[in-house]
Amino acid sequence: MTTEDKIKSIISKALAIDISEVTLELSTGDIQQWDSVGNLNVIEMIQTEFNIEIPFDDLFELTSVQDYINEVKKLTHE
Amino acid sequence: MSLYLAAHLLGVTTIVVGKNYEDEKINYIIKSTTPKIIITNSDERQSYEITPNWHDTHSVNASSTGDITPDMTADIMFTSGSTGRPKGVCLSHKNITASIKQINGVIKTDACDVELLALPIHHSFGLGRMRCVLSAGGTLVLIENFSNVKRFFSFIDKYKVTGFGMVPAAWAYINRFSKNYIAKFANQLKYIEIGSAPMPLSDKLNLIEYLPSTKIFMHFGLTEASRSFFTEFHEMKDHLDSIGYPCNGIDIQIRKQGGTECRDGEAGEICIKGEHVTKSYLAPEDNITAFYGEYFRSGDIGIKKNGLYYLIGREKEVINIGGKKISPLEVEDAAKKCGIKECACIPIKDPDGILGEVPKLFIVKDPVSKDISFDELVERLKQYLETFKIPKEYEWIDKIPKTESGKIQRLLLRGNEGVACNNVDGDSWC
Repeated sequence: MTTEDKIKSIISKALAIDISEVTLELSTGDIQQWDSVGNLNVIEMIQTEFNIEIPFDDLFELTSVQDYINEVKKLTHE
Repeated sequence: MSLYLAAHLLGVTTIVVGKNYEDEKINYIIKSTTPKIIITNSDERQSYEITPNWHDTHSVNASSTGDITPDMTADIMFTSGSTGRPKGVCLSHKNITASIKQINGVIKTDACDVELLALPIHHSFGLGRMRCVLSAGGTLVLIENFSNVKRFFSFIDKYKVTGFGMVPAAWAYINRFSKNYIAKFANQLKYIEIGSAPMPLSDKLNLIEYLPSTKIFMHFGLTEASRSFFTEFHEMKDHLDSIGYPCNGIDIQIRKQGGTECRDGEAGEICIKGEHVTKSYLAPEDNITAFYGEYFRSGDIGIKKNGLYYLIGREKEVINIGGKKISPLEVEDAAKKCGIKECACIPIKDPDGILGEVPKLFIVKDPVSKDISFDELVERLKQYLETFKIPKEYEWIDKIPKTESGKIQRLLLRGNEGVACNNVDGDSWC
C-alpha cells in the first residue's frame, strides 16, 4: 500500500467516513466529521502508524489530506 | 439563520437543534415540544415525521409579521444535561432582548465590528453572539468551527475581524496548533468572549500576554439566565479566579438551602433575578423548585467576597467534607499542577463513615501520568491542597465524559463509581 493510500485509509477510519470521501483536497473543517476532535484523532493515528512525531512548527500548516501525505513523506524520508 | 430570524418575526417559537445531535436526543426534544413543523436539510433525518416544508405551506410576506408580545416564547432551548436530563428552557422575546442589551453593554459590540462566528448557533453561546452582533448592526463572518486553525486565522486576516467568541477547549486547541500566533492580531482584535466551561489560569494569563490591548471577557451564566456575570481579564488580573460582577440590571442573591440569604463570604446557591431570566421550564415539574420568588436558582454554589463573586461548583458536584464544601475544580487544578493532564473529581461516600463525603479522583492515563503512582500523587498534592481536600480514592479511566463544549460531566462518573456511562444526552453548549 502506498503512503497516500495508507493515509487516506487512516483518515477514513479516524473520521468514520467512507474512503471515497477522502480526496486529496479534503481539509479540516470541510466536513462535520473533520472537526477538532476528528483532527486530533487523525494526527494521533498517523503518528502511531508511521512511528513519527509531527513537529509543532508543521502542525499549523497541515490542513488537507495532501498536506498530511507530504508531511509523512518528509518525515519518513520517502 | 434566516429561518430563525424570520420565524421570530412571524411569532413562531423556535427550537434550534444541532445537526450532529444523536437521534435519541432529537427524539427526546421532539417528544417534549411536539413541533408543528420540522425543517431540516439533512438527508439522514428520514426517520422523523417531517411535515410539508415551510415554503410549501406558508408564503412568507415581509409585512405579515405576527402579533408578537414581549412575553411570548421566542425560543425553547435545551440545557446541556451536564447534571441530569436536558430541560427545555422557555425564553421570551423580552428575555432575549434583555440579554442582548446586557451583553452588548459589557462587550460594546457595535456596527463597525466584524465578528468571526465559529461557535455552533444551536447553543446559547453561539446564538447569543449572533443576536448581539446583528442587533448592534455589526457584520458576521461564518466559519464551520475552530478545527482548521490556519483557516481560522486567515479569516481573521482577510475579513479584518475585530472579535469572536470561543469556549476554553477551542482556545486550548488553537493554542496547541499555533501557540502565540494570535498575537499577530493584537492590534486588530477588539474583543473576545469566552464561556461555557472553566478555563485554566495559565490559559488566561497567556491570552493576557498575547493580547495586551484586546478586551478578553469571560462570562458565567446558564441557558436559563444567559451571561449573568462577566470578568475582563486585564481589568481583573488579580482576581482571575472570580466570575466577576453581575451585568447591569441583574440582581444576585446567595442563598442557603431553604432560601435564607447568606452573609458575605458564606457559601450558598447563586440565585439570579433579571429580565433575561426565563420565566419557566417547558415541563411543569421542572418549575417546582426552580425559583425562590423572582430569583432563579442556578444550582451553582458560590460566594460573594469584597463585591466579587466566586464559583465553587455545581451543587450536585460540590464535595461536602464534614460540612466544608470544596469545588472539584480546586482538586483537579491541583492534580494538573502535579503532572496530571486530564482528571475529574467527584464526591463519594466516606468509606470511614465519618466525613459524609470525600473526594475521589479519576485520572486519564497518558505518557506522563502513567508513570505517577497514586501514592506519589498524594505526596505531590500535599503541596497544593489542605489534607482534607486530598482525594481518598483514585482510579484510572480511559476517557472523562464531557459535553461538546468541554464541560466535565461529573455526574456520569458517580453512577457506577468509576464507569463512565454513555453520554445519552449527546452534549450541548450553554
